[in-house]
Amino acid sequence: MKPLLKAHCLPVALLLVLAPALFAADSDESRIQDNPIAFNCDAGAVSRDPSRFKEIEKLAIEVDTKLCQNLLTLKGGTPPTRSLLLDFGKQSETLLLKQFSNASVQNAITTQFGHYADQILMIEGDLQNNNYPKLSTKTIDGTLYFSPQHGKESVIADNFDDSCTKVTGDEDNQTPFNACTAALEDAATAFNNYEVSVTRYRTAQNDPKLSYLSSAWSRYLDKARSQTILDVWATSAIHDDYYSQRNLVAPHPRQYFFLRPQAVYEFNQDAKKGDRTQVGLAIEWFGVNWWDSKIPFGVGLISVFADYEEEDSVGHGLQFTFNNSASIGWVDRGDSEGIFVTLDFFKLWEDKSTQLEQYKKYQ
Amino acid sequence: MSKPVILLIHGMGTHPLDNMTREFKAGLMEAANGFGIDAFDPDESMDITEFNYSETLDNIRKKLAEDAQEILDLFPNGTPGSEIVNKLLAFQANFSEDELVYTHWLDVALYSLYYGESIRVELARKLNNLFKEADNRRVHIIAHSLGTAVLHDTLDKFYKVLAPGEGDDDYPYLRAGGQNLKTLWTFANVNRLVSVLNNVADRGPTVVRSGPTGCTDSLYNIYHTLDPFCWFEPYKEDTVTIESGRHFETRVVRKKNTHSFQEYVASPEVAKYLLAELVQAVEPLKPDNFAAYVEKHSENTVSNIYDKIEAKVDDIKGGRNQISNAAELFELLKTFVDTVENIWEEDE
Repeated sequence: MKPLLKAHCLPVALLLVLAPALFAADSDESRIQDNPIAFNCDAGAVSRDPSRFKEIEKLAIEVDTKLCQNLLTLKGGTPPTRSLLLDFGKQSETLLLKQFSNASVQNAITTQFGHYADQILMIEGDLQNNNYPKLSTKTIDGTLYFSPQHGKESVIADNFDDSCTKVTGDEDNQTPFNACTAALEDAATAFNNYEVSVTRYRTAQNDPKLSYLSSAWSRYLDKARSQTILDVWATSAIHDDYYSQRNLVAPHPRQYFFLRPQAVYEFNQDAKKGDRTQVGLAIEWFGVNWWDSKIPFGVGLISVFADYEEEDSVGHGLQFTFNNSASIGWVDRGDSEGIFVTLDFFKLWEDKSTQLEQYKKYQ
Repeated sequence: MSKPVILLIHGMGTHPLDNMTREFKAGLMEAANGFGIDAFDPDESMDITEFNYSETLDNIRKKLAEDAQEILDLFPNGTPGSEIVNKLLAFQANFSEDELVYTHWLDVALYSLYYGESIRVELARKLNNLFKEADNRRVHIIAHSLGTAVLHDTLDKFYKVLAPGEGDDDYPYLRAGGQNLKTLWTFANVNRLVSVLNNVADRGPTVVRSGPTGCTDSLYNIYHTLDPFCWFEPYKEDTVTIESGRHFETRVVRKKNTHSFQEYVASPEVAKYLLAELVQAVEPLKPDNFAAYVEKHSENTVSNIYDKIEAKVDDIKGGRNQISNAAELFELLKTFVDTVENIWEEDE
């Protein structure tokens, strides 16, 4: 009696049933939105060391608090922000000029706060989408520099007097150079408290996206169809543009397979009785697997080498992989056709060691 | 002064957690003592943390080996198909061995494949968390060898140069010029070499730079003239311009391994800048202190060892222009290591 269904109907049937699953994966956006941003203004700027510049520090923390609240409530609120920050700059500059009497230091302060104001005037759009200049010091080869971040640096002239020592209180018999370095660094730290919440907000916006990417990679390394090093190389090469783009990305939804060997059980209805079941070596010449769709599914071109008495020892066909593990396929041996499954097909019922023992009985 | 945050990123090979921290502290303490800084304790001066991707790569390597062995076990020698399966998978089944080619070189290969993106995502998470928790503290990153490529590629994807008012809602990012590192240190920088393999970051200018459109206030790059990892696609003065910071070329040879991270850190000129930038130490800036440490540091140099190695390896170095693939690169490096071993043995 002829079989009701020829073996080669299998791939068509499978494709019809499973095609919708290929397009049914959750979108990246919906997965990211499952993890909303967690941010509040309660943490705020924290004073970690007592600063000599207490008034500036107090002002900076007040500005930081207002910026933080504006981040949460204002959309494109630029004018209030610019005024707030320009006033803060002016007040801080005045306070610093009172503290330092050294002409070179005063000149540096005036110049750098001018740069600060220039950068504040460029702020536009949403608050978090702007850079907020920070003061900093640097000492290289005995020269002291003072600047906002990436602005033009001011060199503090090396004719240091004891005016900075008056600011620092002559701690540990500091040299004038060291005193100016310490004092300006302290001033910069006190001042920079003003933008702590903006940085925290940026990192909070990153959190759900980075969490999504991290869990996607964990899922991939754990669940995706296992690959040989050749498969990994092929997948990396085909997706070269995807992985080399200027953004951090999740694993690509498609894996590729190239010259992948596997053991299979084949049933060939057309073979003579007693020789219808064979174990063989399948080589997946080229395959693709959608590892993260609702029903993970893959298809590949294969050849199966099996030691039949009368059938062709080499057959060619298609293989379908489900759930990133089990594969079932069809092979054409010229005068006959067979259906095969990989060892993983029995994963549902048996452990690997049992499968191995059963396979070895066929050797 | 608040403690700065120091993030360390190791190179190729198996690195147990805290291994790099120990080497960093040892190198820095040797230098601090040499400069006359009394009772220098790195833990009192800075918060040191590591990004360790060694275990991730080791797990990937072992899983690949196990998966290959599983298939090989199904085709024992002599069974039909075993010869083909062996040809395809025997190499992969050895990935969990302890030989240098698997514990070190394979790291470079695996990082250059798509696995690298999973490592970059984790480094970006680590950096994001550091900025979240740093408040107003300075954040410095120090990377060695393969770690320089991991770092460079990650920063290139994570930092964006954006105009005022411009943002990106689709991908995680930090703003260049907004959430900047204070300093970035690369020891034996191989990112230009790795970019040949993985095509992730350009070998030309990227956001990984100091200056107005960079991700760090200052960039410091250090290479040893006899560190062979720095010979290929070198990251140095004639290939990379540093706007704020500088390149260092070190030459003293005290140990066989010219690629040693601890030796790099202990180098006087490098340590002077490290201590100045990380903890604002002023003692190394005094000429007398600096000279004293230079002398002390070179006490353990084997006399003329540098010249002997340089003379022998000139030929090897010349061969670098004929390198066309990773296997040839590996052979050349192996030749270098064997040559250096012989020189040290002759000298002992």
